[in-house]
Amino acid sequence: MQASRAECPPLLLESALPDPAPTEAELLQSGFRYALALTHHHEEAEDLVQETWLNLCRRYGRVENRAVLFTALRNLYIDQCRRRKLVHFDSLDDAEINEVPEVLVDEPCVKGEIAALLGQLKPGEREVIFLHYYQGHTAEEISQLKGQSRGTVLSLIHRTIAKLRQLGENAAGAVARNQLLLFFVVLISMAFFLIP
Amino acid sequence: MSDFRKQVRDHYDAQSLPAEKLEAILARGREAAVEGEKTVEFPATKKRSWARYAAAIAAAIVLALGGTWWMKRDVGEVSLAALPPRVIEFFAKAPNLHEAIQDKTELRNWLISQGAPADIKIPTSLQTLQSAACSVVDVQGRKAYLSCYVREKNSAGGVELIHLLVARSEDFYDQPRGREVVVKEEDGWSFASWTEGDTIYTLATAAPKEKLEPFRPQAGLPVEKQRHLSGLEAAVSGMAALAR
Repeated sequence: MQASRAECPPLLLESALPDPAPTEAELLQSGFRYALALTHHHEEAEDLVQETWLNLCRRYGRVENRAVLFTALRNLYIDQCRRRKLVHFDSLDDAEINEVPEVLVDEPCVKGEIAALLGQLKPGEREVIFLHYYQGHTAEEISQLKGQSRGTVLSLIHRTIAKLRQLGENAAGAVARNQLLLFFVVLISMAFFLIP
Repeated sequence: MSDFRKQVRDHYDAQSLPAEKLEAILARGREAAVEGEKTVEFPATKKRSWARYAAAIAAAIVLALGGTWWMKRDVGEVSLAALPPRVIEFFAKAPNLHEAIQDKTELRNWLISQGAPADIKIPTSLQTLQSAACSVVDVQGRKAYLSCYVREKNSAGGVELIHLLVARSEDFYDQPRGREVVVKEEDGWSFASWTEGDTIYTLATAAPKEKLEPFRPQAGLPVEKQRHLSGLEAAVSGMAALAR
């Protein structure tokens, strides 16, 4: 497990949130979606967000904001992965980040069914896609949450988009191959019926 | 909104906790908050206040200026050791002196008018002596205010003089501290220096040091109890005063 636990709630995340004071239900729902981005498993995400929520209530008496919830949730998920000796996160410390463009791609041109594609990603990759494309956070804000450098986050986003694009093309190619195969099967079947 | 962003948004918007589950978690959270083993406050939000940085910089500047001021105040640019040779040299070249002022109050006022410290006192033992002359001596750019008195008349009909030189302590370093009287003999001259407040007094005569004995502070010259404090001593005493 190379991912690092965030020590304190990121500050910039809050400033980027559209609603500065979401209700408890909204907080919990957003926490669940973040948990789902990490686990990509509905029941596991439910358990994760529930345990995180109760921990925070027990410790602080309430859940202060989304940044606190996300940070606690991420830390708990990393702890659970460590206990299970699961290694999901890749270290990007040695990644080549010098060539990463500053502006993220707005039109990633990813083809295919998104749920299936996300399921093939690693938790860290799904996490940045969720935070950037769903929550709308910048690379700087994500870097605060993850405790990584901005360049590392940018690199991760670009690599994930490239991976999704590749997965989408592979999936589309598989569909085309299957359709072609089906066409030949139908053709041969018809030939059997038509030829006396 | 890009197509991919819309797909991601639609995907996660479609995922939500069931209402019953959500209510159950919220309810359990409220119970946990009440029955929690310990409740601690959220860590205080770090506020990056530029005012604090500005205050720190201002404090550093004030400290630097204060330190510089103390150094300039306590340490003059010229050593007091330069005074005796300058006095000998001054009298060796038949100096151009101001005429004698016999009234000691008037003499004191004349010295002050030339730039001497306003709190100077002509020692009691010199008050009764006849004035011989007065002047201002330049010691490497710093001023020493000179008044001459007739110490005794010799058998040949001439006079033996004793000289009082007054200088600001801020103009010199190596000056004696407080009651300490530094006696020095040089080229047949004798010098006795001491400090009162911010003023350095030096008695000089072209004779052995024994001739100065009757005029030194220990022999009856008043030395104020006020000590000239070094920078460190002043800081310590200042802190002690504040503590009181």
